[in-house]
Amino acid sequence: MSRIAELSTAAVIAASGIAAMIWWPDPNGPWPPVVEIAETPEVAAPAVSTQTAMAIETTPIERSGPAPDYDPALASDLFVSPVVRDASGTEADFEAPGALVDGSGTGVWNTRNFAPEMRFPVETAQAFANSQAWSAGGFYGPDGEQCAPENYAYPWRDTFCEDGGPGAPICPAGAGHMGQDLRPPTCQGGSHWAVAAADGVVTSVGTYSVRLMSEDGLRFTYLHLDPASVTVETGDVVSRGERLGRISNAYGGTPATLHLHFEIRAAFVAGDAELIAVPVPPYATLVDAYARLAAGDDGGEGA
Amino acid sequence: MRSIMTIGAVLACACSALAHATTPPAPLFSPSTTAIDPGFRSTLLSEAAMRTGESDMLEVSPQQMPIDWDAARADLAAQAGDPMEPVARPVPVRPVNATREQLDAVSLPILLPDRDAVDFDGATARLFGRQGFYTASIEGDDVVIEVFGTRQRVSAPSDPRIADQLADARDGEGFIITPGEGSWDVAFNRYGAAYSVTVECGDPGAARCANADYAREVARGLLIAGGQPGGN
Repeated sequence: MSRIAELSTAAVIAASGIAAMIWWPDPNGPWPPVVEIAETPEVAAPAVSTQTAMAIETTPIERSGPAPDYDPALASDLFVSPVVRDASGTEADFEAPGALVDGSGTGVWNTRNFAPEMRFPVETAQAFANSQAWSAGGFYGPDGEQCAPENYAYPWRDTFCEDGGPGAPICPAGAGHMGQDLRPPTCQGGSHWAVAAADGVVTSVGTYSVRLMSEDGLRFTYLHLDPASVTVETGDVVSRGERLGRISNAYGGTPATLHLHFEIRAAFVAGDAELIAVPVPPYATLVDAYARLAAGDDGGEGA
Repeated sequence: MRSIMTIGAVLACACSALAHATTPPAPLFSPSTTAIDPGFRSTLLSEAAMRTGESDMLEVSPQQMPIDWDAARADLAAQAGDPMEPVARPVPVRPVNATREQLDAVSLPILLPDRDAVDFDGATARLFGRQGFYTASIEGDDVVIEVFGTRQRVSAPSDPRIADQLADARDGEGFIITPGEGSWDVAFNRYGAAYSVTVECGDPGAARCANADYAREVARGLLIAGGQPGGN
């Protein structure tokens, strides 16, 4: 074949390729998308009760108007903890919402249940909510090691807003921890599963994290899962109670203690800032979910 | 030689005919195209105008906050710029799973990061849209970026001081910055909906997570990429 013929052939092939690139249909449509917002007005539908946040039933009083400074003793009077017997038959005990470890900062008084139908995010009906940072073996904690018996015992304790991080505007002190730490039944790594709190879709899987968006618009964040054990991928549709990964101490290159850090993100009206979506205090929601699981009312093994 | 050229010409003609026969109603923009072709633009405007003829009232849940669609339209117009000006325009990241239907199914403006703000190669973006909320995630280079948008409201936490604290914490851009464990979070309200940008680093000490700067940069560069009143 002559050089002219070769060049001609190459030109035809190139032209065909370019034509295909320009006109070949894209099943997903054009990008950037050509967005036109319709002029159709919206109207609110009649009220239908869905997964609307509510105060948990065990709370007899809810404050209104300006609240006094947080007083753990007063909060204990206001918070009537549910009667719970866990999977081992042990009677559980719960400190009041916002009652942090002494000296670990100022908590948030909240009895709002942001997910009344939530599945407890640890598979078993035995787990221990307490501070991984301010308890034995923690970065700020007293002498001892993370497997100390007192870390695997009741009562539960709120960890939302405890000291240990830079500014967190939702916290009374303007800084603090943005979730609830949950220790599994035992201090044995690689043994205990974190599970989906609701039906939803896995929106991302990080090095040590899984994020889940529920079908009713809540966001759940799971940290410190063993990366090798994570059973889901981004985009997976998961069912309530489905295993996500094993609870571990994974935290990038610097291990934490063995625990699950659990967050709930929801949007509420924050004064003149209007609707804002931030991590909300999850403790009361978790107490309620734990009680239901332990009672065998939630598809779990019960007590 | 002549036969090869003939084959080439036939191939080109056939390819062109096939292409025209199967050309979808909406023209394709190459992902690398940043200037909108005025001709394509006007065609699509006409189609959109036909769509807006549907004037039925769309129901939204009573738990859903109203959306300022006029403000969104104004921002969208500014984002598109003058179609006659052949200048580069910002382009949002392209979710690998995004379809026209999915973009239209969300009843609030879908904000996605400017792809230039996602400063790493091999990023995979995905969109998970529902009627009143969505999440977009971008993963790659040991970092996760999530953009969450919602118009769904829950009751505020019990302590009424929290709302005021959050409102007071807004900076000059209306951002509320919250650190996480190896992550940063930027929350704000726009068009009446709540949005948040979360940047999480696999190595909590990585530069993108050393402070809130990168998360802010992503939040500043968000672009409208979809959403319709009422969703579909």
